Amino acid sequence: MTTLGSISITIAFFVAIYSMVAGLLGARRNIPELTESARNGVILFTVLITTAVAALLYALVTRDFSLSLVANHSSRDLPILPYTLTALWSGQNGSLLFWSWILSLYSLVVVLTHWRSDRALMPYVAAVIMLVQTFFAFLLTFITSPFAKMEMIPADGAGLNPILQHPLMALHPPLLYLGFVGFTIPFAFAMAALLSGQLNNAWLTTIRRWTLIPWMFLGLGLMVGGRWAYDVLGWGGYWGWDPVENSALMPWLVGTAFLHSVMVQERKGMLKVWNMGLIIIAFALTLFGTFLTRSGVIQSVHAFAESDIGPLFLGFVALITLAATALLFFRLDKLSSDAEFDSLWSREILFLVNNVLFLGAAIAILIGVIWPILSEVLTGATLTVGAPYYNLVVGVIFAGIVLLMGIIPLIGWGGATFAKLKHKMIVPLGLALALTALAFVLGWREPIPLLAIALLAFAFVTTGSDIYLAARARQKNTRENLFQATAQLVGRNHRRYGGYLIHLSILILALGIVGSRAYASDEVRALTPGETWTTHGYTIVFEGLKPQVARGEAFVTTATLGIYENGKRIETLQPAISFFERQQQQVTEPTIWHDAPFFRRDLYIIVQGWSDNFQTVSFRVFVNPLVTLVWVGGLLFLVSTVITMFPDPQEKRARERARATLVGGYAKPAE
Amino acid sequence: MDFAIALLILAATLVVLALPLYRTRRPSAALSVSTLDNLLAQRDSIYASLRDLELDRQLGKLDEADYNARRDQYMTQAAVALRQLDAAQGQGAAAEANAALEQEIRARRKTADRKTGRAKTAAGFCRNCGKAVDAGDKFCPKCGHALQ
Repeated sequence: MTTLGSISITIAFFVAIYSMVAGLLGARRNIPELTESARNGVILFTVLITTAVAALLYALVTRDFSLSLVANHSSRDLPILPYTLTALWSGQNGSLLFWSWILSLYSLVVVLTHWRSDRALMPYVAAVIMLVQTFFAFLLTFITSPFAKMEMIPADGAGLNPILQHPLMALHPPLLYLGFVGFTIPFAFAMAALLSGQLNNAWLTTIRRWTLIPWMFLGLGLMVGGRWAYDVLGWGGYWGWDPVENSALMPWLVGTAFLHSVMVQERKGMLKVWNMGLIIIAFALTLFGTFLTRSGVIQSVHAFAESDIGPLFLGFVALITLAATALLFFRLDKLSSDAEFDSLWSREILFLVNNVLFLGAAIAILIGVIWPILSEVLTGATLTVGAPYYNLVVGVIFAGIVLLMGIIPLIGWGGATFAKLKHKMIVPLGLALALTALAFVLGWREPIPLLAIALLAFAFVTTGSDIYLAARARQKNTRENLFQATAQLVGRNHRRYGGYLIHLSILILALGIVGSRAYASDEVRALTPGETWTTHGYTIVFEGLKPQVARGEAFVTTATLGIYENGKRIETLQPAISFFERQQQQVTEPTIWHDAPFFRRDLYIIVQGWSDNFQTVSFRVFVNPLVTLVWVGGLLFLVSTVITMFPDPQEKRARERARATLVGGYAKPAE
Repeated sequence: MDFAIALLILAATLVVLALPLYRTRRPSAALSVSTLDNLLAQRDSIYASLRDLELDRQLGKLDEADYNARRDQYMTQAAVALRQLDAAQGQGAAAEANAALEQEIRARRKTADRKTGRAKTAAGFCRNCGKAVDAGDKFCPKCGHALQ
């Protein structure tokens, strides 16, 4: 099996090179035999890489410790499902294979669904994808084979890092990979358009959908990662501005910018160069992110697998970015705008401002991420920037974005005057202020959280009222109730209202972030059994400690706490610390009590340590208001993005009708 | 063993890659993005704009003057796009008609060729209907008249 895997990868490398050349040559010289052969190459590559993945999974499941990947990332007592399988992407070579595999699956779907409908672009798309695959297959074949052997076969493997043994860790990396890797597809389409010179609007719908898919996965991956951190790492938070988190956030932000500005291109034929630039940047950032995780240049909690392939990655990123930019300049004449901006207060202009802000946020984060390197070069000392930098800079930019989110629904495409806009802002502003006053009454007193609430409320009101008023307008002509009317409205215009639903879910998520960051509390107290501690209206009774009970690979020390509110016992919490002997690693297991009405707050408790032979135990208690809204917003984000992705029913029908009248589904070629 | 596996995969790979190269060349229709796709996209985008415009007016984001001006502008654009679309579809339909005609002609020519071919090798003609018949025919293929 091992041999089968490594042979498959080696052959896949040559198939990738061949398909790239054949696709390019076939498209340029108009030789359909060659492009068809390149298409077969893409499919074949998928089969070969899938074979390699299957071979590696087989080795993992059969505990073949002669492979270094198996020996280093799993052990006999690791459960097969899911953790032994997740060991696939735990190491560097495994994760590169996983990357290439996901890209091959993406490319298979793209080739099968678009080969006929986007005939002119697809050979180029295949060639660009295969260029990227050539790089990965090269690494896998010549630099860091996932089938590398151990010099001595150990009796048992080293096991999987205990903090990765969590159900969410079976989900977080694949989601992030689906996001990261998926940005290759819009990049390939963009490059195909540039290479072929077919820069009209026909491919925009395609590229928009293929951007939404990885964008959604990346967003979900970030949220699942945040939830994992919250549940596992035991510091009471979900986002730490870690370089690797940042490197996933950056392409997401740039992708968000693109998803907005592409609408301007669809409507007005403007911002063509800008959009191309955004796609190139987003793709380059995903590769750069991989470089960060893999190179060890920058210290990170995510550096589970460091190695020497960093320079190769950096070289590839530089090469791809340069080539893409050169191509963009070469085609500049074909990318001139079809229209001019009509008015200063138009959606187009505000979308451009939104784009600048999103890109600005990504750049600000990038500067923060590479600051250790920059400062070393500039001053000779390695300086890192921490949360305060990001909170300030990115916080201010996000505030601007939320403000735009509030204003844009008030104005149409084409524009308005400021006087009219002012007039329309009165009611939403009034409502927003009322909500802010409510927050004040409920105990929010600091200016910055109140300002944040005001902005979020304003955006919520204008977005919500846009949906509400449209539903009311619909009710005038139909006999539907408000709920039906809203559902129909969303169902008939997925893009517009799905987009608004995404805005609402992001606002809910943002409220969760503001609440849980601005009013989080963090206390440490040492308790002896029987002792009580009252904080935030909860009375915590320390009822005892069970030291070092064996559980699986670990020895677990569990504390039992009774939680009382107003004299009534509401919950029993059991925070723990487990010690993994094999890895000599201690893992805290927080417990969380979600205080339910209106997602009020979480009570989050960890055991910090003990003294006096387990007689005194020190606890750390976090109270995180509104943090549940972060996860609620995340789920809504998923649902509304899926809604947005589906084609609108009437658009679909119109397209089908138009196509049905044509020869074999195709029009005559353009001369 | 390893060598055999490698050889097997390699052979399969070469077959899959080479297969399209040996297929008969088909006419490479529509190797550029068809104008039609483009026009359809353009039309859809104008429709979407109109739809949004309508919504914006309903929700009071536009006053009548703005609405009318923009609506006129979009309607003109839509008219142009639709006319071009019609022309393109007409071309498509014409191409279809042409292709059908060509096929019909080919079919007829084929039968005609067969007939003349048959006439060349014909051993004689049916006494009843005058159709050319082969030497071995016992009955006329057209009217069934016995030929002996």
